[in-house]
Amino acid sequence: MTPGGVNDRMKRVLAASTLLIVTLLALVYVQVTDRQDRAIETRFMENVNLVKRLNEAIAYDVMALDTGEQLNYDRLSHDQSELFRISSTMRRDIFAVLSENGSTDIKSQLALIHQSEIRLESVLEDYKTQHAILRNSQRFLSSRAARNALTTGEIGEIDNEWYMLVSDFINDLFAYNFNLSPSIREHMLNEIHIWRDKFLPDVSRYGDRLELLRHLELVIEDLPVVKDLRNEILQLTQFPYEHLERLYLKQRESVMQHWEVMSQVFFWLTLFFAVCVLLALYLLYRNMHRLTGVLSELRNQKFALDQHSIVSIADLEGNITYANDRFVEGSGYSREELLNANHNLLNSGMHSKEYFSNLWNTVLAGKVWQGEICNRSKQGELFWCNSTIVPFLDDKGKPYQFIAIRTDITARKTIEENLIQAKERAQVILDSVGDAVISIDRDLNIDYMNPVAERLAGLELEDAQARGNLLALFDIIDERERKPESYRISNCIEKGHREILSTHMLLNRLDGREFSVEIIIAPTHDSQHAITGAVLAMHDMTEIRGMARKISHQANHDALTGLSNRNEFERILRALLHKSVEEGVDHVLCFIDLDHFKVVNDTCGHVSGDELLRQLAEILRSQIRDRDLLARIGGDEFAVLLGECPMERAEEIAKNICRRVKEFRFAWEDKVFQIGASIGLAAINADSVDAVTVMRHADTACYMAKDKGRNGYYIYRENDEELSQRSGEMQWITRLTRALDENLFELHVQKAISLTGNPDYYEVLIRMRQEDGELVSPMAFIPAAERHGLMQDIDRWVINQVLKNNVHWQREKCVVSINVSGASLSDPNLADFVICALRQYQVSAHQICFEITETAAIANLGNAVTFINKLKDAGCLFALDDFGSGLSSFGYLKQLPVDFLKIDGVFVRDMVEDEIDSAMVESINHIGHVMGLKTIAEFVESEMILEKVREIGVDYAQGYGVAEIKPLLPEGSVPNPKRLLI
Amino acid sequence: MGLLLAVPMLAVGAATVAWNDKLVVKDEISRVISPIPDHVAVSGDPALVALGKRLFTDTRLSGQQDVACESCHRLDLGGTDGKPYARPEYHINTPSIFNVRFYDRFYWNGRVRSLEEQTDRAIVSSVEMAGDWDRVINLVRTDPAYNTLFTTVFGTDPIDKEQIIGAIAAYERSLVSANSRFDRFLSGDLDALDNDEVNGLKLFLDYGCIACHQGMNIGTNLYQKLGVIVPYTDSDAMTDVADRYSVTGRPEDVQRVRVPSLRNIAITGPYLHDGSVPKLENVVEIMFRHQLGRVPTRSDIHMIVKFLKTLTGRPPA
Repeated sequence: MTPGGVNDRMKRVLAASTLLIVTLLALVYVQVTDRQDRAIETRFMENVNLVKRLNEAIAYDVMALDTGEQLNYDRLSHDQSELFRISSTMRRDIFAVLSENGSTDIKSQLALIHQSEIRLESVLEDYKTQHAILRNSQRFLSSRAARNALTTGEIGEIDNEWYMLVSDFINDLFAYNFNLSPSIREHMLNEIHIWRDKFLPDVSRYGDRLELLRHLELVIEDLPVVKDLRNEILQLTQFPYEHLERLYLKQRESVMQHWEVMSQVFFWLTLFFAVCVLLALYLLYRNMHRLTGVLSELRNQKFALDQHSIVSIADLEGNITYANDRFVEGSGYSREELLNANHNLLNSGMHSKEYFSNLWNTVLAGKVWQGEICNRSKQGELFWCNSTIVPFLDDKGKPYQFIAIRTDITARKTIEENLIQAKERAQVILDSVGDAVISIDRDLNIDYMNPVAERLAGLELEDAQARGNLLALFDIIDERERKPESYRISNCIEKGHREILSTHMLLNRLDGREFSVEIIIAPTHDSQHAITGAVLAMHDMTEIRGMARKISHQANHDALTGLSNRNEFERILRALLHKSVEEGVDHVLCFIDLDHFKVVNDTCGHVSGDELLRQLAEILRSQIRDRDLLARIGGDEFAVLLGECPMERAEEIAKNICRRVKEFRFAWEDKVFQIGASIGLAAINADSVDAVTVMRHADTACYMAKDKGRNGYYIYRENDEELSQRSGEMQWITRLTRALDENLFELHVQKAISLTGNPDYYEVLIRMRQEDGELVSPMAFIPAAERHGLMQDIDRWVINQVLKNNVHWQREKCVVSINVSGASLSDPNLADFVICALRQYQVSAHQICFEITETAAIANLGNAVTFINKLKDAGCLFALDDFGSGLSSFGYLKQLPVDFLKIDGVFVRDMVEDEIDSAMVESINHIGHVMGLKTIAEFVESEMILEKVREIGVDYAQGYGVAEIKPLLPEGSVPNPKRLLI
Repeated sequence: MGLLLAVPMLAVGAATVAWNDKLVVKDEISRVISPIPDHVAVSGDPALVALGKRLFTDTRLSGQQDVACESCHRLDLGGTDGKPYARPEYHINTPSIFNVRFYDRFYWNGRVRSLEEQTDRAIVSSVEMAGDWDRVINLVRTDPAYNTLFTTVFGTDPIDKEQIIGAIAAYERSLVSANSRFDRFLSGDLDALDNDEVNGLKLFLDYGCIACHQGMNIGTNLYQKLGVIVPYTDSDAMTDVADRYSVTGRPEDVQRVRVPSLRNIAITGPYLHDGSVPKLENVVEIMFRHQLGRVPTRSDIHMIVKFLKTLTGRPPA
């Protein structure tokens, strides 16, 4: 059943319904009109009766007035009004019912009635008027005045005659009242005129009589008039209304018959159309029933479509008019946002304009468009859809909207993309990998070769594929037995196992070239795990095998000098030791430490250092025998193993080395350096314990050689006193510990003079007195003390000594400055130690200053700040030492709350000659002042420098040019060392 | 017929009136004049009457917005305007608005038979209010106060001419001045009239005034010629519009006018159709001469006037 069929049936139902309604309305109209007519008819009949009765009432009223039963006109007037009112209603009703189709009979009858009523009204009014006049006169005749007219006056002839006359008048009048005879009337009027003429000359006397005569005359004249009027009224009120009634009813009958017929006709028509409507409805219902089935099927199909696809409908402009749930879901927009929005809302920008214009041209031409479109969701995600756009065509075959059915193929697209990427990646890998990769099928035919494989095979991929079989390119043979091993590839494919042919494989190309290779054979499978062939990965070992040898050499040799390295050296040493123990052969181990090597490295850089080492290695090599082993075992340390060599011969060699090195001049750019070598010799013999001991012995001997004066050699011997005492660093620990224990340190001060009127500043300096009474400069022992963690003890000793001996400086109101090492800055207890000591010796804290180096402070910035703050709270002062040469960061300067800034002497020393140094001093001084610090210039060694410093405005000057270093304690007050123990 | 014999001769001249005389007079007059029923004074839908009153007093209904119905039918002047004519160009004396509910014809020449019709004509007549119905209806429809009142009375039907007229007529019907002393006398209170007044009433009967001035309204239900006995020529306006002739065109109707009601006559001067007579005594004298053809004594006139003054009813509250 087509929708068109339903439409037709719908139209039929509508048409039948319309007709049914029309006939029904007509029927109702007929019925209502009929009923109204009947109502009017009823009223008309009532009114006719009423009019008749009122006519009778008027007749009665007139009679009653005539007889004196009624004495006023109220009743008559009322009935009169009622009559005219109802009569006019009655006439109106007839016209309303009959309108134009009323018969002429009725119309003329109505006109007649109207005429009669108008006449009646006039007559009635005339009657009343005349009746009133008549009554008035009649009343006069019975009044006192009439009696007066009779009785008053003179008694005489006239009077008798008058009296007689009146008496006659009364009789005549009585007769006249019954019979309006003109003769009586004439007679009476005659008499009246005669008598009036008699009385008129004497009005004053006969006034009453004249009046009586006048009233008599009026009665006589009026009486017939009134009677005539009365009669006319009685006649008019006899109007035959029955005639009208009859005509009316007759007319009504025909009208009613007409309505009756109409009513019947419309009734049957209504019935007929009602049946038609029912029939049409039944047919429609049957169709609808069928359509419902179709519709439900369509709905299911739509549901299925909606479940499977993204569906939208758009108008000709591309505006969305419908979007299913999947569309909404996929687009990320709400349905409200989508509806009426243009489809290009989802445009991803992935397609060209031409792509879409092609789409539009297709669908606007009424054709179906299919393709893949990349859309962009509200969240910005791209999703691919396989889209089918179908235009909906109108009757003329022109599209009026489009339905777009899409399948989300984002997943497929992603897989495709991933595949492409994977393929690309694989291609890049294969192109860039160092191995030759060849893919073959089960029959060993070439599928693919990467560039390395092409090189290895000496063929392009196309040529190789043209040759087909792998074995047409090369053979694989065992390099030892030179027997073919190609069968192993086939075997591998058969078995499906991965196989590695790692050793001795030789690829024998058809042109005769051979390559040692390592081959990995990996079978390939299809998705059903069936073997489809194999991939051969071949590593060209030809070069690598050469490399292996090289790496082995590198592992044992120093790259710079080409000499054996420490590993190799130790291995050989151990071997020699072993040999020595077993065979009783003596050997000698030499340690060679270069003197002044660091100078070269520091001044000219590593490149020069490396060059120096290379040249020295050559010199050393030239001085030893071929069988001896020369090795570089450290930065500037070399070792020589003199195999089967007596110590005497070794001494000679060492002596030669020293001489040759001393003679050697290393030139770098415009500089020439002289190098020295300190050599330690240790014997390797059956008594040697192990390699480590031997090496330590040689090391110790080397130190001794250095200690004894550079560029010499020293031979290690067992039980050598001098050696044991002075061997290396160990000695310094002992000496420093002893110095602390026995108060061998001495304190000196150097004064910094104030140039700007500040209190004097004394820097405390430490010296160590040796057993021989000679003073050792701190430069000599402090590095050792720092290395061995003795600085904290030394610092505490100094602090304690200074504070304890405050009597010697406190009264001068000066500032005493103590150097604090970096290690002490990290000592969390030092601050408390200082505070305790201050209290113990009752020293005013603001006279104590601590000098710290910028480097030390920054290395332990957190601790240093804590330390400084703690002691500053206690009142102590602080000075930043050597400012300008280290990190020289003004930023750090801000973080360190110091009171004095000591400008590094390096700048001060040369400031007279060097403008840059001078400027440095000036700027540091300036910055110090800006920060509210007192500045101290070190190394003021001459008057000129002093002048310059003063000129710049530095607060203090310190140096040999200003004040010598003097002992802190006055001569003779040197404490007894033993008692000075803390 | 037979009035002449049926009417008894009355005792004449007594200064005082005996009670039984009064009773006789009362019985006689009661047959001719009925009292105004007291209860009608308060009949009618109060809301409709109130609405009618508002319209009755609204000058906006007139063409020039200057006069209302009330302007000429002033309740404090017995329902008239107290002037010879309402308008200078219209030489017709304004009849009273009181007791019109008992009238069966309106205007001096009775050209209208219902109060509604009279109201309709009064609104549009160029010599009365000179209004225009379309304008009046529009005015009433656009007035919020009227809207409320009309809705209360007539429901939500659109306001039309019939409603407006109906309301005015309803109000006019409420204007009944009942309970005059004469009415009380008619109702049996013989002491309601004093001797002079009873004597005046007797003269009213004797002279024949009662022939025309009868019925509840003491007039109005018939036309009578002014100058029945002695022609009346004082009025020049009579032939213009006032007489019945102007309606029917019949020669008999020349100089015939509606017999005016004598109720409230004492307070509705000046008198006659043209308002040419300011005093009651004078008009009584004119009536005697022209209608009765008699010359009354001064004392008769005096007593009749006294009687006429008892016809003044109590106006509605």
